[in-house]
Amino acid sequence: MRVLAITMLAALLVAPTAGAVWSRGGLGGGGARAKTLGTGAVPTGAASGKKVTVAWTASTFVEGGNAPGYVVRRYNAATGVLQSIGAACSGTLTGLSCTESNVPSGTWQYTVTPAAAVWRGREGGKGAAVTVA
Amino acid sequence: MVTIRISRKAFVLFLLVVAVVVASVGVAAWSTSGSGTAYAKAQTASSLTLADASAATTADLYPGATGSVKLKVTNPNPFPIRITSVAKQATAITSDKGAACNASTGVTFTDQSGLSLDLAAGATQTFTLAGAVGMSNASDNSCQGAVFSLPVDVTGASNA
Repeated sequence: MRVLAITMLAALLVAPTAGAVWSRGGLGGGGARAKTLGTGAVPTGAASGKKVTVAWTASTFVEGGNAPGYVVRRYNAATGVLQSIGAACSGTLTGLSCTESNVPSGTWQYTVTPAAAVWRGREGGKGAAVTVA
Repeated sequence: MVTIRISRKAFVLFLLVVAVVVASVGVAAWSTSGSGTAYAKAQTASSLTLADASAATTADLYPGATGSVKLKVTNPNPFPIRITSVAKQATAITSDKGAACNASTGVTFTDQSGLSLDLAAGATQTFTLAGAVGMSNASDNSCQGAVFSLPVDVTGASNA
């Protein structure tokens, strides 16, 4: 009698799980894919005193959709050496223009690189030289 | 407090009745003919299998964005099933981009429940879980264009 009761209790515990099919998928169980940043546009530059306003058009991911950010760089037009860029144009920018202040006298070229957090796209070509007196 | 006294025979009879009722519910989920027992039917149900779904993936992830997950599921059973939940395993998400990306994919999977993904008997089908995956700003630069493998558990029940 006691054995029968225990058997019935076991059936009660097991039966409710009978409706489930489960699967451990293992690696490759689900798939997702990341985008790839494209190439930056060639920017324009306009000097006004010690300020230079840099502007560019939006870049896209290779798969479509605009890049969420941009990194602007300034090069010495004569030597091609990368320079430190002013605060308003440093870091990752979300807009399509920036104005660098207190730019040293010289002739400079700017580039734009698409960015998304630490992701970087391909740096675009250098814009026309900008001379700051 | 009220105490109800019943005989041992009555108690066992009660357990027997309850067990038969509950077991019948379990059988109903599997059987199209209504025959067999709960144990027999449960034991013959085979686990779903998941295959590489990378070819079906759509590139939609980047830092700060959410994306979709593709699941390629095979139902080896002779009855249709309905997938109701998908949960990530403890195993880490990996990519096809190597160690640098794998060290910081930035990818997270949100467990899915309340799903109604139907799969015919013996069929293989690829499902899309929209918005099930996200990517944080921690994603390494080398993760661009990566295909991510997400180890998951899939749970379903017969849908006969």
